[in-house]
Amino acid sequence: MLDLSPIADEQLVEKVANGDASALEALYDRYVRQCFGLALRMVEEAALAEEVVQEVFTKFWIKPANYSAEKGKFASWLLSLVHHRCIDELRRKSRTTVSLEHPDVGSLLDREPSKEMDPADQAVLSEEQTVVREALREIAPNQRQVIEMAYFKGLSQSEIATRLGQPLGTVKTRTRQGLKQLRELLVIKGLLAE
Amino acid sequence: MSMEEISKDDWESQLTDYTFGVMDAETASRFEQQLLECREHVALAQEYSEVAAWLSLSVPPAEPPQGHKSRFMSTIGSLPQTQDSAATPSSSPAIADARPTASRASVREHPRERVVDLGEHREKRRFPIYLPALAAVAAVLVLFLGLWGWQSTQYAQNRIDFPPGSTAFAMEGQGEIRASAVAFVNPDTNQVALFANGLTPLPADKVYELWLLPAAPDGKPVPAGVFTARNDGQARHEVVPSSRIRDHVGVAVTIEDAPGAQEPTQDPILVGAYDTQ
Repeated sequence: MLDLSPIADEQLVEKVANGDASALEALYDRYVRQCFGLALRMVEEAALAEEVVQEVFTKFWIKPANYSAEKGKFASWLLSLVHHRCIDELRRKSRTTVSLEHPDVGSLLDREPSKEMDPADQAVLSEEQTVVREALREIAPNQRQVIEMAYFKGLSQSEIATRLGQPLGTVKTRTRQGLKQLRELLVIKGLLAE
Repeated sequence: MSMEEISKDDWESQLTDYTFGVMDAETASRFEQQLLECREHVALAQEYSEVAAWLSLSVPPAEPPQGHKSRFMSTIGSLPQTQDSAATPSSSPAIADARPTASRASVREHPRERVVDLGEHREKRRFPIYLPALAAVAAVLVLFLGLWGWQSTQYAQNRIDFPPGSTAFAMEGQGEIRASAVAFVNPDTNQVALFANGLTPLPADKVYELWLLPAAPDGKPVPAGVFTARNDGQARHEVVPSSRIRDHVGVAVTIEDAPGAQEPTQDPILVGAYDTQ
């Protein structure tokens, strides 16, 4: 994947480790929309999503050594922090709010990428996003549904089965087959190594 | 329940919950323990995690609320950074050279009272790279940072249950390795536990191997079990070695060909020293 950004993430991370707030700002500018998009998709509350994103970036600033190149791409690592933090929020909320309504808020494929990012960053993200979204489109809708409910809503397979009114075994099979198919497609499309 | 007692389908569905982070911490801990028993399962877990990582990037970006950036930047301006060795870039050789490798403390005693210098062994030991590091003065700060990092993970939080009398010490990555670990030894029960961060998940034909380092200059490192790292770079390894902990002065981790070696064949990536006297 061609990185069109003038300064690589790793260089900015190194600068952040040396206390360079402008480098953090650059990383913030580069990824805050992606992080916020993910958080908003998951927690569905702008204020909470904002809090999550701010916390993730703040933790990175306080301890930049938590990231290292061995952990993969910086963007993936950062988004995984957002995801984990959102899962915590969703699980916390699920302990206080019991709802069996609205099993899904719609596929992420219903939403189109924003055009407000820096064009260079947009180009890279869009290309990868396009590929992943294409792959998601290519798997069976019922497989995509359970994967999205698990990943973006923090639901276990038992919870998904309850919400969808489907047998647990069906949900397990759909999830497993969907993940395998998705992986195969990502390999074919060049995002994952075989 | 062991791996053999559950079906492959059940296990894979548990893996899905684990990969998506929806397992509760206690169940996840148990699952990880089972996961590490089989290299094939580790590989499958890695495949699932790779797919999950791409899912997060598939969400359309969204503009955060107005003023978010200014609020964030004003917040971080007042927050000090935690600069540990792992964050130190390689372009700072003076710092890198001076950084301590073995820092340690007893659970029972003030860390400063437990600092030891193992430099006397440096000329004759088998690991040429870690010897200078073992000679360095222990850095209490590193230990505390290591403990902080360890405590901050759910992975370790629910699982440390070492008896009184255990000695805790930090292990530092060697050379360019950006891993770190907190280790515990208990000379009474002869247990060793290691909780590492920043490790690279290895291919199926490689393993991390723990070694007990001998006190005698001409002694040989003793193997103390192999382990693997999770996709997030964390690893946990507990073992009761065949040799007495009291007869050794430190531990090291190397990367070896699976299923492990009887003598280290590679330079260590993590080293830490302890004193049970």
